Amino acid sequence: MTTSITYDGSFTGLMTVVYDIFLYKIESPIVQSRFNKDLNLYNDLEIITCENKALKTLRYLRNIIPKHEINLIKKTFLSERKNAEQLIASVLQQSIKQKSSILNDYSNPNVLAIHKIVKSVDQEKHRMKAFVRFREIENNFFYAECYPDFDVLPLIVEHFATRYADQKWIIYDLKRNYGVFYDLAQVEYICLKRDRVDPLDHKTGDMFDYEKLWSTYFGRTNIESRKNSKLFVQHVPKRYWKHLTELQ
Amino acid sequence: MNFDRIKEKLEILADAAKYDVSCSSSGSKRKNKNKGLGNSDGMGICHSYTQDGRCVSLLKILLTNVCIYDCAYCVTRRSNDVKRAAFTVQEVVDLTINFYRRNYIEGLFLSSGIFKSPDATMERLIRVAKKLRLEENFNGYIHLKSIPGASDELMQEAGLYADRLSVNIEIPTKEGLKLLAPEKNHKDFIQPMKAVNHAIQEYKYEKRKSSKVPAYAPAGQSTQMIVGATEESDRDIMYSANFFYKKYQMKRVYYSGYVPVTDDSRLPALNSQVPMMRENRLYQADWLIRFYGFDVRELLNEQSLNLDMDIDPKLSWALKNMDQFPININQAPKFLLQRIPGIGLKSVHKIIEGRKHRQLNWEHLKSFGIALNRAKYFISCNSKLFYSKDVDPFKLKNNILAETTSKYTKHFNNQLTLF
Repeated sequence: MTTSITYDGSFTGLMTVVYDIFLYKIESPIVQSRFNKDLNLYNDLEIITCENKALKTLRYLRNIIPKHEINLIKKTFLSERKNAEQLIASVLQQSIKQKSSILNDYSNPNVLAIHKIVKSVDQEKHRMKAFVRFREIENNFFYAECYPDFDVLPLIVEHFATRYADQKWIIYDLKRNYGVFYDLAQVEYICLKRDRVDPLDHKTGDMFDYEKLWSTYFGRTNIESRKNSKLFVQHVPKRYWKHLTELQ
Repeated sequence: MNFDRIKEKLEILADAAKYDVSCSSSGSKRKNKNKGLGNSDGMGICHSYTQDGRCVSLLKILLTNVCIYDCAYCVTRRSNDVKRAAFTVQEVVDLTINFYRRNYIEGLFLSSGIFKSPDATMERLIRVAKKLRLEENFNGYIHLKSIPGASDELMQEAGLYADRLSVNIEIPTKEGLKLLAPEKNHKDFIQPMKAVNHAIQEYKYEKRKSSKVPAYAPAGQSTQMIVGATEESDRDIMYSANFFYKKYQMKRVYYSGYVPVTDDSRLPALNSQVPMMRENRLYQADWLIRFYGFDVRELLNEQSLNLDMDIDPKLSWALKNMDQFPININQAPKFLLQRIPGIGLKSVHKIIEGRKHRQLNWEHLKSFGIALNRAKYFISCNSKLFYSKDVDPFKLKNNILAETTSKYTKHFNNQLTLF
């Protein structure tokens, strides 16, 4: 018999779910976020998020699952895919039952599905590392807007913080309306009241100079006789063009 | 900044640099020190792509397109009537830093026409890299060209600031070089390669004794060969590439289909097609040699002077060696799995991990994303269904081609009639 479970949609919540599934020996759980729920399903159980249980779950998982495979779980969660929590719950449930990770069993359809999702998340993560374009809004203060398919900011913060250690910067996710701000010392998650503040407002003339030079450079890299527009769009899908300086 | 002047220089000197295909920014680990600018974590990043789908990872420019040489295949050759320009050291530094700060690039790829002398040119390239590292605390990626004919001492110094050094051999055979670049000497290309390789080995050895030894060209060396400018065969090209991989521990050899830039009787005519398919097949063969455990002589030899254009080199090899198949997916060791057409390294990994849990059948293989249209004829798995009985290679090839669509099909329609 299946049991339909809802939780609050947070990672801590999901780890609590995994804990309770084990504790109450729930055989075939169907896990859904409360905010993303299939209305046709009767709700059997509402799990209350508990930090203590979540920490216990994570601590136990670290014993049986290698670190890089735990990251697969986190990335699957950040994908925001509708079936993500279901896949995570079932794979973790089985791993806990066997007392060892099943995440390398590619012949298990749930595992394969997780690897597929992670592949997409990784691709988006890599694209954001590549396609974020900073604009200088004040002397040595840079601002970038993006609209990633998945919630990948938490996965790229460290990359930008080590790389741009000597300049202030903000990377803002317009889709989820939050951003990260580096103030030369540490990184903070922020939320801008964008209807009142537009960081790009008071930009002056020569602050655009390097943007223009970059576009000039980009225009010159093309070799006409090798033109291959299909390949180009495959590498840089159209939905990213809006935020790319060189494609304005 | 004199914006208009810089813009004009950038136009000229980016235009002249674009025929160098290398744009890799991987393979170097350089940490951000003392809250400086930039880091390289070993993974390359393509920040943008050109309209022809090539990666734009580095600011790729010439320091100057003034050149004392007159190599037939080169846009910046002395006798070509083009606008000439030169950047100052500071201008290149400013462009690099400001592009990097905006996350446009992973770093700088600096090449140059040879002005005055090879040493004078190399010295100027080094000055740019040195200034970026020492004055700007820049830890991004720097790729410098080794100038043919530059002294060993300068090459010794270049590697202290650059992540990668490269000399483009351009023409794969000595005879070709004599024809197209008579002023240059084959030895001039080899000498800086040798000096850099020597220094890399030396620093590696020293580094084992003390961690304080600085990094020297941590991303190694690469080179480029033009394909289709002269009459050389694929065997000439790949044997030459193999020589550079083995002898000088090259990280990469790039193959660049010749883009006609000049009207010269020694070269293909101006309107001739860039041999993109041939370029593609050479890269596939290169990958087989570097990652799949193939020896260059298995792919190209007296009997096969050129790679097949209508099928990939692994399939081509398999059809000539049918006695080695079928390979059992559930039992074969890794190096044999790698030899199956249609199966890449990632699929090999999935097979090896997956078969620990259960015997794999066609369904599993399909879900791994394997190109079964090719692979199925060469394998057996946990199923009574076999495709590998038909061992006539000609028939097999036609079967596979009939089931395959290739973006290159229009180029080889006429070749198919041979079978």
